[in-house]
Amino acid sequence: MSAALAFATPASAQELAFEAPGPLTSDTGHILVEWQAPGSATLVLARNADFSGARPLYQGDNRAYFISGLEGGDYFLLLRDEAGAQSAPLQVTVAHQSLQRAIWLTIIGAIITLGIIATIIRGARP
Amino acid sequence: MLLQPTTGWILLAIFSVLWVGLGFYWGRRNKSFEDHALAGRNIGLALGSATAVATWITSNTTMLAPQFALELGIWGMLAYSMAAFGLLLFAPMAGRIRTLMPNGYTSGDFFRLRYGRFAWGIFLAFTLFYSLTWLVSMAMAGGILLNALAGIPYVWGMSVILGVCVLYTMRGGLVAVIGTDFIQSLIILIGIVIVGFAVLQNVSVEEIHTNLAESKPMLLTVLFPAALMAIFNNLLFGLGEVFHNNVWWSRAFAFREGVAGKAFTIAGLVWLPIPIAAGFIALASGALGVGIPSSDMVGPLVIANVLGQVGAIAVFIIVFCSLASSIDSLLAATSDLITEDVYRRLLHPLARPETLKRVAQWITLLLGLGTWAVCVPRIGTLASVLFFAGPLVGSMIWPIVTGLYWRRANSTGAIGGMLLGGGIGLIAYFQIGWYVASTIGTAVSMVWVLACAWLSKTQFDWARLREGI
Repeated sequence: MSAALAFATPASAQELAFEAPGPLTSDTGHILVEWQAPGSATLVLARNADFSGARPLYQGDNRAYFISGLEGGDYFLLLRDEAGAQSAPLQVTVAHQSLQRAIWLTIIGAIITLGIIATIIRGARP
Repeated sequence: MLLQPTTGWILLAIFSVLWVGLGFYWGRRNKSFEDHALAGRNIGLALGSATAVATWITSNTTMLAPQFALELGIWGMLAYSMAAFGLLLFAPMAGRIRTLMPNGYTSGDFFRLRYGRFAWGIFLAFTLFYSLTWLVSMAMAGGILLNALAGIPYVWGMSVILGVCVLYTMRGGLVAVIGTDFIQSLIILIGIVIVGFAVLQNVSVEEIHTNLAESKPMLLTVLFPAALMAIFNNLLFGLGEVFHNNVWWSRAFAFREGVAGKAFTIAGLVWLPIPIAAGFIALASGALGVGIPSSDMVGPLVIANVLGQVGAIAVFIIVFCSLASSIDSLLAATSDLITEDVYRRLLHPLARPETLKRVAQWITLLLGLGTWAVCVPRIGTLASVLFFAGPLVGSMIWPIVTGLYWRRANSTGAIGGMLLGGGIGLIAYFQIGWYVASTIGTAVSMVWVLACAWLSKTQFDWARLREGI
């Protein structure tokens, strides 16, 4: 019975799917999303699983889209084709790296750089 | 694909003939290894500045700087431009190098004479790894970009770019490299300025800001962790690349006396805004409605969207010039390093200047063939291989800087600094990410080198650098 139902589903709806098998995570706020589609597709992004307030990110024939600049939190992606068929949603979780660690490493980097500059300037003095 | 393959092939043919022709013409007077490797030590300010700018503008500058901006925002754009400090800080060092080693040939000469053979061996391993990965990544980038831009098959595009650079570098040596760099730098700079103005004609800064604030807010955020970490990581990576590599040392030796400091300062100042201009193009992609299927193609896609076919041709030429100006410099500097440090110092100390020139030419050819063989299978991505070298080059900064200016800097410090800094930096690369590896590698190396210098009672005799050549 289920096999018969699957067979009856339009081909476009069957093929409209994200390449990633499950939820994606990112610690930098950027991620590459890839998909399969029989033709042109629209990629939409929402902050809620019910896709309220969703906004379109891309519409066209490409099969990938690079998303960047996301703040921390959960996001939900969906594909729609011209016939109105939809893919299964894809969840993306963004958890940025530790800000404390980033600030410490920036301070360390600044100290090293100042040390190098001081050594060169001091050494270059006649 | 932005261009028809026929247009791509025509452009490729025109510029290939131009570079090979100029290389043969400029190289006709080279007689000895010194002529071939160091252009007779007589390069003036204009050519000197241009070659430094052109060599530092790689395909990474025109392709990876937009990628940095798209991924890491304003900080990413600035982080990439921080690599200019490599040239700016090398300016006073180049003067010091010329003073201490007026007859030097390579950065390997410095390590051998200053720190001994063991440190020299580590340096050679690190620098050859870096130079060869840079060379491979540039050649691969050539094939990938020509394929993406004009549909030229990857192997053909990569082979033509590499083949052209090998031909004119073999025949013309450093003088051909510097001469072609001069023209290439002018083309790249004019192209980027035109593209920047064209983008601003199509979209205002306000529109770009509004789009970023709404759809990519982290790109404008000051406290963006990955971007913050990238700032000094990239700066230190850039310092490490310039301070250690024979590409830059060979120029310090080749420039006329008194020219090196000014040339590297001018080059740093000219180079500084280029990644910002290139990055700005990427930040405009959202406001322009350009869908980006791959972050390393953001630059070409936005330019083609704004300028159409003319923009696509401009991208093709800029990319070709960026690649050629870096590949030729790497081929020349690496073949000179192997000729001087391995062939002459280890195998044939009494080799004649004409023989050394011939050996350098053969090594250039072998490097080209080796690079080609590695590139054919197309393994890895544009930047990933090169970033692997970040902690290795970072770990060499302090041994070089202290070795040039402090008598108390010593072999234990240099060897430990390179091994500990490189090793721990690589662990950080795999445990945390590329954006911390150079910072951590340099920090570890710095602590070790400074501790060894502080505890040392030795006083290095600078005359040994002059006498040992």
